[in-house]
Amino acid sequence: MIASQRKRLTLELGGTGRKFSALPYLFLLPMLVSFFVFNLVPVFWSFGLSFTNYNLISPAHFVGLANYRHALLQSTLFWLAVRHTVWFVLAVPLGVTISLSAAFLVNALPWGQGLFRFIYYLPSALSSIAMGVLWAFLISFGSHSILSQVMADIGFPRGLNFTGPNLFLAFVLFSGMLVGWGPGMVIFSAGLRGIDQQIYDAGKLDGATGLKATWHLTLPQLRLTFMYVVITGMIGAFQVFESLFVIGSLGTGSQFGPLNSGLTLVPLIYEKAFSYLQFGYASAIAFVMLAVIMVLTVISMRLGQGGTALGK
Amino acid sequence: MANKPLPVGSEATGPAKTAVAVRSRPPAGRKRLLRKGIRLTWLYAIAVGLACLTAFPLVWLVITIFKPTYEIFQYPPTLFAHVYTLANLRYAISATFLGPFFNSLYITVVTSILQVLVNGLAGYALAKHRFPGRTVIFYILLSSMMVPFQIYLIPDFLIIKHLSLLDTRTALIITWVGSAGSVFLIRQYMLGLPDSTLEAARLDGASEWRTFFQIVVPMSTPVLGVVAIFSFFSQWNNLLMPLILIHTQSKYTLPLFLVFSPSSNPAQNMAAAFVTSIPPLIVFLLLQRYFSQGIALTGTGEQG
Repeated sequence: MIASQRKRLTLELGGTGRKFSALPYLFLLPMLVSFFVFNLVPVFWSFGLSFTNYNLISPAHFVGLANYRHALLQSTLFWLAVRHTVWFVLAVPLGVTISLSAAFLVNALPWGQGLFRFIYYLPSALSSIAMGVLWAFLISFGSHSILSQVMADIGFPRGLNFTGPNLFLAFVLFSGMLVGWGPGMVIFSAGLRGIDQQIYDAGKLDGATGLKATWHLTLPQLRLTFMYVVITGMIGAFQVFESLFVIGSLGTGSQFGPLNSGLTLVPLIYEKAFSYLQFGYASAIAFVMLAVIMVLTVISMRLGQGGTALGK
Repeated sequence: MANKPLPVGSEATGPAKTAVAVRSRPPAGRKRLLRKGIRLTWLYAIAVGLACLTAFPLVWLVITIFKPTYEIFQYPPTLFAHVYTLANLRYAISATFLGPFFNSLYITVVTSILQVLVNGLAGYALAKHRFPGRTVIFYILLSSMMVPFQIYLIPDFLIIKHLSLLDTRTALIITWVGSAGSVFLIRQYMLGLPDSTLEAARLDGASEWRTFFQIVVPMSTPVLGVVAIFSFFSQWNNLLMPLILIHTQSKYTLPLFLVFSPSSNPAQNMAAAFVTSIPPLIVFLLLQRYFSQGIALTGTGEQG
């Protein structure tokens, strides 16, 4: 039965004797339909919307570059969100350095490498939302929070309020960095194991041992991996949303923290679109973000194989 | 919790072949041995310190859920509860919690299966079939990987609204199935499958579908496993899509439930958070082998 189906799907291409089969298209069909409807059309639709004042209720009117002009030239909120996002992006090289150092450490251990790698990866295997619930608990009740008391006990000023506008962003940033270096560590660790040992033998003849070997031989070998992890990390940092939303909602009682203190670009897009129904303006912000991310992705694709593969 | 070595990668337990190992020359006496001992002590001290840091969230969650409410606020926090209670855990098996839990489980499992099937077929077609348009389709998919999914957010909402699928679990599944990244990964992997085997199957009269399911799929388990894991993680933790597509409380997924219907008792919320972490943890433990391969394949362990 299946064989007959196959015959039906196969037809001769005029005289060439080559078979034209519809089967590959059939294989591709479900993916392409879903891709077309939910990914491809939306990119153009969103781009079109960014030149309108569409608000879900009244019909869209073309407004030219007004949305972009408003975001880039007039809106203080947009630039506030950009500044906050930049903090997350700038923190990436620091986090990646932790990953790299941890990889050196783990690979130097004579036994238990697997165990330590496993524990270091653990927070990334837990639900990120569940982690947010825990962080929110640790900072709730403002200056009387558990974290404030711990910080006071280890010598920081008493009564630090992590739910306040001054420290909320910093808290979300650092709590993420504190436990989020596991995946990078695994990548570097694999990279370190992949280095050809011959370069060290050759280096030894030239007197490169110990730290010198690390600096002149190991690090250059990891340069591409390092750049790749940094750039994919930065792309991720541009899209920060969940942690701010969960910790903000549960810990401080306001989405994205008090007084917009945790407002970054994706939260701004979400708020403008789904709280204020400014679909056109939100789309314009999304495209400004896309422009920056595309530059980073092109670089990362040249470095790695997959870019934001699976970055859905 | 993890008291036996569970290597993240199959090669994880191999000898340390780093720059540091290069430094250790053949032993030249007792002094040398002592120095090595001190160095190792330091290394393990730092390694254990870092392990405490990363294990902290899970340990804290586990400790907290067995404490009575008054004790979780106690300062300094107690490592072991004075009184143990199962009341918080009971909340995590109550109907309040199980509703969203099974919503999430249903959506995530269906999404993962469909992701493997739909993107697997597409990847196979792009890798092993020649047909007009193949290159164009591949490059369109490839370039779409540059687009952050937040771009799709507003149109996806409008499309789902037009399809009258707002506030359904189906909406969450269908917006998450097609993934250019997954197709790319699968294609790259399947390019490496030997054509001779596929040809042999065809000569034996196996249909294309049978070839796919009985030969290609078994030979591609590593990459399909990676796709399954990543789609499980990304859908399980998916917050933004349910946020805009779901409004009825009975249809909440776990992320929505944890944020919008928290219990007034924080200890119960922690129990809910802990139980929320269990399915991804199980997937991680069961499929660890694929996980490290995934990191090697994608160069990233992030789930976006």
